[in-house]
Amino acid sequence: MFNAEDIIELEKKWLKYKIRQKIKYFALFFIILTISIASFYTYKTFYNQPQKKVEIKKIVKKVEKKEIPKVKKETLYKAIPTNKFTAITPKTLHVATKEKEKTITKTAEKKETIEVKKEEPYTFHLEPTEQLNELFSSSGKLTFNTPYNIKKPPKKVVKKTINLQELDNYEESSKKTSTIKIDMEDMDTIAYLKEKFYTTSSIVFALMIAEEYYNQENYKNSLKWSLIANDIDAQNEKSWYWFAKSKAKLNQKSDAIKALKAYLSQNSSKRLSALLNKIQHGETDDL
Amino acid sequence: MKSNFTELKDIFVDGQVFDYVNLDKSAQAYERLVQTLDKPLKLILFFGKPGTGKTFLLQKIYNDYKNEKSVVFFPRPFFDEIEFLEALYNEVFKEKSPKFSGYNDFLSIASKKLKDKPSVTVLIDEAQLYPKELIEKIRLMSDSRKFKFLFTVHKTEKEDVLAKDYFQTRIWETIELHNSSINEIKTYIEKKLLFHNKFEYLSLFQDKHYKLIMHLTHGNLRTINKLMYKMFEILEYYDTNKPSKVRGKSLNLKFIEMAAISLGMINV
Repeated sequence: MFNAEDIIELEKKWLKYKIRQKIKYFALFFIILTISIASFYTYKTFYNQPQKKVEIKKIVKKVEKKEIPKVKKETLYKAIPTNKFTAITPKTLHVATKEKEKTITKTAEKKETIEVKKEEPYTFHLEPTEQLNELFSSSGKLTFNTPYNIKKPPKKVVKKTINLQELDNYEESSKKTSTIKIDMEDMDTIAYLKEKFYTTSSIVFALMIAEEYYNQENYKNSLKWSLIANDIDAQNEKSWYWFAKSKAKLNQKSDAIKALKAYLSQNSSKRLSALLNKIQHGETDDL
Repeated sequence: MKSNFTELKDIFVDGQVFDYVNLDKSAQAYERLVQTLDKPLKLILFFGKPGTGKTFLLQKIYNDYKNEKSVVFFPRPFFDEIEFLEALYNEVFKEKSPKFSGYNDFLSIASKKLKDKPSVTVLIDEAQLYPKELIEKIRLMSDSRKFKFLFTVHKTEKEDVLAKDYFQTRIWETIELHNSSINEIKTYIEKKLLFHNKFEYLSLFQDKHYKLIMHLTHGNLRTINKLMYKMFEILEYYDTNKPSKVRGKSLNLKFIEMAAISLGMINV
């Protein structure tokens, strides 16, 4: 029969054997885990289109630094001359005189300052434009900080020439930002939409950005993008829609009502009529 | 103090306890061996890996037929011709052997004594250990038709060559015994316990135990005996000194592993 020492020795050996056996399984598990993690990151690195991320990041950073209003409207039209909206929108961008252009630029700058410092309400006026398409009957547009003057007679419109120098500067500044780090967190929906907007100048993306900001309860930016969309196409019902909704949410109901009434005086829209009705009855929570 | 496991341990003492456990493979081999013994064959080769139960089966055949037929069993090998011939004479004629000068001398005396009696069956275990010259003499003896030899050979690579060299052209019948399957191991252990009226210990073993035993012994019955003996020896210690560790119906796998470590089946 075994004695105590033999059994103690045997138990030690058995324990050693079990540990060695467990280590084998642990090592196998660790190897599988490592391979899985490595495969996951490899997949992410090679198949997630890193080039696109860089571009999106660049655009996002650029927008944050430069602010949209500083980019003159005309440069956008030059970038995408074949866009379906361009056949209509250039005429909405006509400025009465060179002096008027200066005023607008100054107003845009002023608006930028206001945005940073306080929630200054946006004012607008309905600026008559030429009838471009039978499908559209609107005769006005929303502008920044200009008095509401629907009855203002149409002024002589002069087509503004495209500032090529400014476009070049804009593109150069874009290139300079190419060394910005890749950051996955910055690639959200809005950044993506903004990138799309700056590459296509399509009103669709401006409206989507306005809607996205509105859904995020960022009404100030939603308002801004509704105005950008309206600049592209003053007849677009949705630009008025998001403008009015954002105004209402910013407790500037009177502005919203004025804008909607102005639009509806020239156009018919069930959606905007319903919206006007809601705002007038103070149902801003349901917007 | 005597433990319950002491008796269990003794059941598995290899070579001392003669329990013939009727496993499928050994039952088949047994039937074939008995049939070949009745045939007019001169040489029979019975082979298998060490520990498959060849010796055990020869022992059983000898025990079953020693009173019915003229059967001689040599479990230990002979290395000298004269020694072998004398031992054979003693076993066949049950008298003291005279001095033989060689196998021819033996054959002439034995033939006279046997006359018309049926041939004598000689069961030779560990045949691979016999000298080549003696094997050749045995073959010549079988040509006299007075003796029939059954050689039991270990089936290893080296001994396989031996078997081919010495027996291939002369062998009339070959029978192979394979290692036990897991079910046969189960039957073997259960029957062992039942033969010794240890019914209450049947529940010690479950499928997981048989799987581990199979893994450690590869179905080799001799190794199973050694493992069981060692395991019950360990259990005997615990039962005497730390009885709380061996309470419970099922056996802890730890004890089988400890036995395997002690026997060097598991290298730590």
